[in-house]
Amino acid sequence: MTVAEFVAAGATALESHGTPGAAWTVLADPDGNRFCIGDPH
Amino acid sequence: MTHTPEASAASQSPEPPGGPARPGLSIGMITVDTVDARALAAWWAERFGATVTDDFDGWFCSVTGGSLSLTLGFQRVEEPTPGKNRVHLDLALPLSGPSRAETVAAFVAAGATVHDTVAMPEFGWTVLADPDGNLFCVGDPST
Repeated sequence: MTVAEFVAAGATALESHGTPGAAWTVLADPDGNRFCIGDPH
Repeated sequence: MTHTPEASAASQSPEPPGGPARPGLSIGMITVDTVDARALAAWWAERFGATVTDDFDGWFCSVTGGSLSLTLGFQRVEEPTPGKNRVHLDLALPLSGPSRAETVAAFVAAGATVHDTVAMPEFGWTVLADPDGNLFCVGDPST
């Protein structure tokens, strides 16, 4: 499941981060709990 | 607990509850926000006989190994997150080994505090707080 699918399912994308070697998106679930989806590595 | 024929048949299957694992999105780690990532990571690592395997100048410490079944992350933030943590760890004891009471006593000796003890007809658990105030539970061994 990708960020777009999470958003379509009701999650909210809050931030995107990138550092050398890693990138991730911070989302919130429907209750507001934050979680991250990282790129495969 | 009620056992239906279907449930009994399922319990004899080698498949885990929820069906066989399949490729896809998985949990890479469970991460806790904290104002002192190094200290909290070291505290939790010691509880599991695990190792702090990343540090990133104290901004992100990961804890792996020992008796941990997945990686714990500790991410430094500027301010403590207010209120009760909405996600908590449920720790599991092995079937043979220290009792829940002994395990809870060891946590308390290491700086945790006991918040509650809950007894159900077939299961009991203790609610504790880590040195940062994050609540977690230690449950009786279960099959």
